[in-house]
Amino acid sequence: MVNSFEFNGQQIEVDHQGYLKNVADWQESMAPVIAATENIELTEQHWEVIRFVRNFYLEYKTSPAIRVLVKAIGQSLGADKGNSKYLYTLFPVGPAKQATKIAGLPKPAKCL
Amino acid sequence: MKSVAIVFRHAPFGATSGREGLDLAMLSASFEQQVSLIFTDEAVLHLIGGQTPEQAGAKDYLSALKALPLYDIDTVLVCSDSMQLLGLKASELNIEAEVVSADVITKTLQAVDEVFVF
Amino acid sequence: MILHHIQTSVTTDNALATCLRFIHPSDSIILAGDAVNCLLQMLWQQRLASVNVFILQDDVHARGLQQHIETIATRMSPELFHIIDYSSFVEQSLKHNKVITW
Repeated sequence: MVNSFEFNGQQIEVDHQGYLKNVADWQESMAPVIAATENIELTEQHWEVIRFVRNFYLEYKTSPAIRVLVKAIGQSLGADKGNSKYLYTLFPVGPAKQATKIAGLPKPAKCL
Repeated sequence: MKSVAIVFRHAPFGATSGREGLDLAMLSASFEQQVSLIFTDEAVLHLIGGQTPEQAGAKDYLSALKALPLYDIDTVLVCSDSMQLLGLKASELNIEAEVVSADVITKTLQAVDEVFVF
Repeated sequence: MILHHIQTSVTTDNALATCLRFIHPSDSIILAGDAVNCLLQMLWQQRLASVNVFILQDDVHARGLQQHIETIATRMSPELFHIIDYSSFVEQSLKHNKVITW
C-alpha cells in the first residue's frame, strides 16, 4: 500500500510513518503542512534546525542521529542551541525524528 | 564504554556489507562506544575521491564517511599492503585516515573489546 | 589472544588470507564450513603450519575428507593442528579473549 498526501495538486508519496519517500519532492512551503501533522507550528527557531538537518542530509546522504545533531548544531549555531533540552523544546517527540520528517528526509535509522 | 573495531574488507557497491558496516559504526558511535574503522583489501577503495555510487546502482553511502568526525570516529586505519597492491597513494584518500602497516592493525585488533568484519 | 573464525573457501573469498596478514602469534584459527577445503592445498598447509589451527570435525566428515585431513595431520605439528567437535569449539571461544568471524 502506498501512502500519500496531496500538495499543490500533486500526490506526494510517504512511508507508513509519514516520512517523504523522495527527498526531492520537498519544498519549503510543504514544511508547515508536515509540521501540522506533528502538532508543531513553525517558528524561525524551528526553521533554523530544519534547514540544518536538510543541509546535513544533502551533504552526507544520511539523517543525523540525535547526538550528532546536538553536536553539529552546537558547532554551527552556538552552544545555547546545541543541547538536547533546547531541541526537545522545539520538537517535543524527538528532534531527530520530527525535524527530519518536516525537512522531507527519511527517518534516521540510528535514532531513538 | 566499550571499544569496537569495524573491519571493512570488501569492495564498495558489489556487496552491501560496506554500508552495513558503516551503519553499525555510526550507530555504535552515537551510543558513545569508542569506534575504530579499519579498511583492508579492496575495501580501501571506499576511501578514494570522485566516486558516483548511483552510477553503479548503489545508494550513496560514501558521503556519510565525511561525517565520521561528527560521530567522534577519529581512528580510521588503512592497510598499506592493500593500498600498495592496488597502486593507490595516501594522497588519493578522500577522508582523514592513517595508512598503516599490518602490524599496527594487528595491535588494534588485539587491543579493542570487540571486532566486527564486513 | 583471538580466535579467528573462517568459514569460506579460499577460492571464493580471501578471508583466510586477510586474517593471516593480521594474526598475532598468540592467536588461533578455526576452520569451518568450506574453509576446511584449503587444507587439501599444499600452499595453505604451509601457510598454516606455524599457526594454532582448529578444524571442525563435522565439516570435514560432511565433505568426506576425513582420510585426507588425517594424512595431512601427520605432516603438521601435533601441538598446532587440532580436529575438534562443536563443544570444543564453544570451549575455545570462551578460552580466547574474543572471536573474530572473517
